Amino acid sequence: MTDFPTFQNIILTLQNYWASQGCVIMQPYHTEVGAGTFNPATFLRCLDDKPWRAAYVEPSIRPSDGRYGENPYRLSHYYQFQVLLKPAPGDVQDIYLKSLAELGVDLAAHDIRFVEDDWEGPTLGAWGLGWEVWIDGMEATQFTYFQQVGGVDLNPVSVELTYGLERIAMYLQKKNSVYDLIWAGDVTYGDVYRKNETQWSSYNFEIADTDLLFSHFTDYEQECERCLAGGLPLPGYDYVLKCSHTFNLLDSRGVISVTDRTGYIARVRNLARRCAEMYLKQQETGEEEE
Amino acid sequence: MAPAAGSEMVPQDFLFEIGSEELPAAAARSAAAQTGQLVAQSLARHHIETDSDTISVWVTPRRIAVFIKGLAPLQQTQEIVERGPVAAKSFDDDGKPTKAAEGFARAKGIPVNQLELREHEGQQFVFAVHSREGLPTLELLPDICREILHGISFPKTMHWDDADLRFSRPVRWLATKYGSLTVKYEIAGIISGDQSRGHRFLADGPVRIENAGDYREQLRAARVIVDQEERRQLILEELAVAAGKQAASFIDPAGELEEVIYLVENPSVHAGDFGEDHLRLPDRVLTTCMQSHQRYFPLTAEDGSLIAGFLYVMNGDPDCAGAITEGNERVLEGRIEDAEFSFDKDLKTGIEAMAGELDKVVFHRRLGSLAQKTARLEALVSYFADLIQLPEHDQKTVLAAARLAKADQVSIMVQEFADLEGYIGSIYARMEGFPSDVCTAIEEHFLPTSAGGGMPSTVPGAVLAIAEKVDNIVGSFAVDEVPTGSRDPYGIRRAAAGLAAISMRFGFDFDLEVLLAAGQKLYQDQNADIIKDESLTEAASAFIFDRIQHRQVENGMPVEVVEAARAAGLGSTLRLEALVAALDVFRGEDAFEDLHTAYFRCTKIAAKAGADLQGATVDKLLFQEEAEGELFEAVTDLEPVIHKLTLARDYEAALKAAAGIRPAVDRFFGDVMVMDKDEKLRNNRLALVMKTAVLLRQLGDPMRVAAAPRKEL
Repeated sequence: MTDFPTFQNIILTLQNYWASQGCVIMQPYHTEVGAGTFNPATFLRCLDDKPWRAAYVEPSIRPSDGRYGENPYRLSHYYQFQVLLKPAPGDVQDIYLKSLAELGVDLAAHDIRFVEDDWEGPTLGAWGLGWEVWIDGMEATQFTYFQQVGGVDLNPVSVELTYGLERIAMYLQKKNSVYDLIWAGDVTYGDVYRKNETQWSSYNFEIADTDLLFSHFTDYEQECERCLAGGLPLPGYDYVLKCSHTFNLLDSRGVISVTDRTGYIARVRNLARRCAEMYLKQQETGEEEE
Repeated sequence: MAPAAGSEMVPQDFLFEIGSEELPAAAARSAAAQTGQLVAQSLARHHIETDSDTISVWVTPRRIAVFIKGLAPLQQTQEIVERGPVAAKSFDDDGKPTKAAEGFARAKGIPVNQLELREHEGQQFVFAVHSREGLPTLELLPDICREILHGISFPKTMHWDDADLRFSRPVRWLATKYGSLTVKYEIAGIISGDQSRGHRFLADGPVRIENAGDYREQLRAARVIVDQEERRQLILEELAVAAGKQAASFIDPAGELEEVIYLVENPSVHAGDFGEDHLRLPDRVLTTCMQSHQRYFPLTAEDGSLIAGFLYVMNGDPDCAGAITEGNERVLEGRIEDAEFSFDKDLKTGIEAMAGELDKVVFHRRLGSLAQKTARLEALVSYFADLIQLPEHDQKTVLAAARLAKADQVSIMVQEFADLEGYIGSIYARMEGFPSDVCTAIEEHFLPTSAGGGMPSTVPGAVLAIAEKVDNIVGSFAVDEVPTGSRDPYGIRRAAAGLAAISMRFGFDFDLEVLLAAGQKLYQDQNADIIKDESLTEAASAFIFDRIQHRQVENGMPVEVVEAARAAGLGSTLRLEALVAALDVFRGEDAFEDLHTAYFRCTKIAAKAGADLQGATVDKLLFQEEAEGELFEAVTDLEPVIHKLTLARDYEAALKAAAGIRPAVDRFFGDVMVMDKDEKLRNNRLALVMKTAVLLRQLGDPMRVAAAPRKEL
């Protein structure tokens, strides 16, 4: 018997807790994203004024963070647990803290802090103010009051909570390597993912075909344009995500200079903004419902 | 039972607490700094007399509290003054009130004989003067609280619900007491009351404040030390004690204490350790791991070397310190291991191999790779070394350093900890056995990293730092990405100021435009896609001189004095600064008047004649008056003196010598009719006058100096 929650129990506990708080439990999105914020359940759903609560696990794909499975703290593929609450409840900090208690953290016996962390997502034209929540010096969660998303000033304001699942698990299980985490029973995180990290690091840093990716970027951008021209912001937004991931791959291949970066980010942001605007307009006019 | 009337008419303590979700440390610090004045201003606006010593502002992450000891119960009695007709129309010849005065008095509801005569804009008028009893302070407090809350300004604000209130973080409660009375009002949907809250985890729940005066102690009982200064003292004392237990000292190079004070309500200091084996990492890597993000305080032994431990300030329950310290240690261990992982990877690569990778890293899309930048730096330091006649040994050192200066840009460490650039390269070079002075120059070439920041300590470091800055400045002008407004993406302003500061510190005396032109040519030789115009060096040089001017003025030098010195057209920043200093001294001396007058007389007549005689030669044979010969001789004698003194950068002596020309100038203008009818004579005289002015102007423009505000002695 173990006296700490397994990796999958942490996920289950959070899902149950947030389901009890009225969240729709979603599943990960079907295309690569750098963070749970990119999932349309957050990015698009936070734009309009209809109440919405959702929670889901999201694999976070960050090609340049890979370390070939050699570094016990860095992964190119890891998991976030994402919660979006719209409108932001007045007691949202307390609601959040209860989720930590559910995970077995004795709030009075630990040092829990809300440390300023202002969030900005340049590719999404988004920013918000909030904190990273520390447990005994460890960053456990990003806690953000969204102010603007897709260039749209938000009203009502949503709160986004992003739990770093591996970090929390390492803390709760007192492990010094992500690969030693107990996923379930005697299966470790390393059993499940170490090879994955090694191979994807090779791919992300060495193998990925940059010419192909450059042309994909342009193709996806054009396809997004076509979707928007056809009045389809939802498929259009998928191509924004594909552009963003392609950009991340090119970045990890080291073929995007510091100055070119800004240009690529602006191109993605521009598409994201237009998808957001069209989505919002359709929400307001009910246009998409024939 | 209602209190007897008047029983509350004695001063009472006042408490206004804005309860919020955790404020950023910088916002809390800013609130602590500005709120006292806001309170005083608001009270003054409401005519409530207060001694500013009675106002305290206490700020924690979760509250901004205003406490006033003994706040007056009533507004001051106010005099209401209303102006009536002018005196002449208010009284007749017998001094009796006129109809106009009577009408005015009646309208204002006072007997006509109580009208007062007062002056207004130089004329006598009659005035109706009433006094109005002050209102009870209690009635005004809601408005005062609103003014304070709305008055606090933060660099960044947010909204969190549909109320129209912006604040640094969501406001959740308002506790307001005047003595034992609760002040009731509403701001943006939040109803004020008598309830504060204790420590979020150690004494959660409402704390009812009975009396404003009890607030501080009631909160202390609820595990919150509201006064930031008390927290500072407590933390400092505990840090010292905890360090002392290990016979060590704590250090705080990044100044994290100021942050930490506003991250905790219930501070206690605890000690943690990390693995001794990590001490093999360079000090700054370890201190960065401890300080950046985690805000721990590194510990040093008596000899200044780091020991394998740290102190941290906790907000939780000191009785649970064991587990909390363990958690913090694990986090730090992880950070250090992560850094170590990168460090070891870098070591395996080696600095030479890193230098070989620089062709793959873009410096700027239009300015080539870092390998090209390195080639330019090598050429530029050689050129600069010649320009300032650097000893051969230093030349070799700086050349070797230039070759490796950018190598750490491809290191994993710099990607992870950008602040370590230069430093970590020097560590890698040292570990590979490069001479110590080469390594130091690599480390120092980014300096100074801020205005007034640390400077290179060695000549090779200083030379390389200048070359680095020249290359950046020229590059930014060459692609027309110069700073605008608050935007300075490439840190060019800082580079310009740094260049001048280093030149000053090391006495580098060189023509800036010459070096800038060399920098530009290096870009051109690499066929960079840049502006090739010659005006580039002029613009870049003016930009650098502007930065000097900016700093001089910021430090209190009158702008006129700096402009006067700039009018001398000196190419060397060192010389410009020397001349500014000399002019500033000299303008306070009597002799300055001589220089000013001499220059004024010469330039005035030249301007009047519209003379365009620059470069015209003076023909001695055309002299008719003795005074002409005398002035000519005085100028001819003065020229080599000024030349010699300025060469030695002794501008004060040069100015003094120049002022000595006044008698000759005075006699000339006394005895000689410059604007003679004979054009030849006239032009010859104007040429002599111009020659004098041009010589004097080598020491700046005395007219601009004279325009500066007088020096206060």
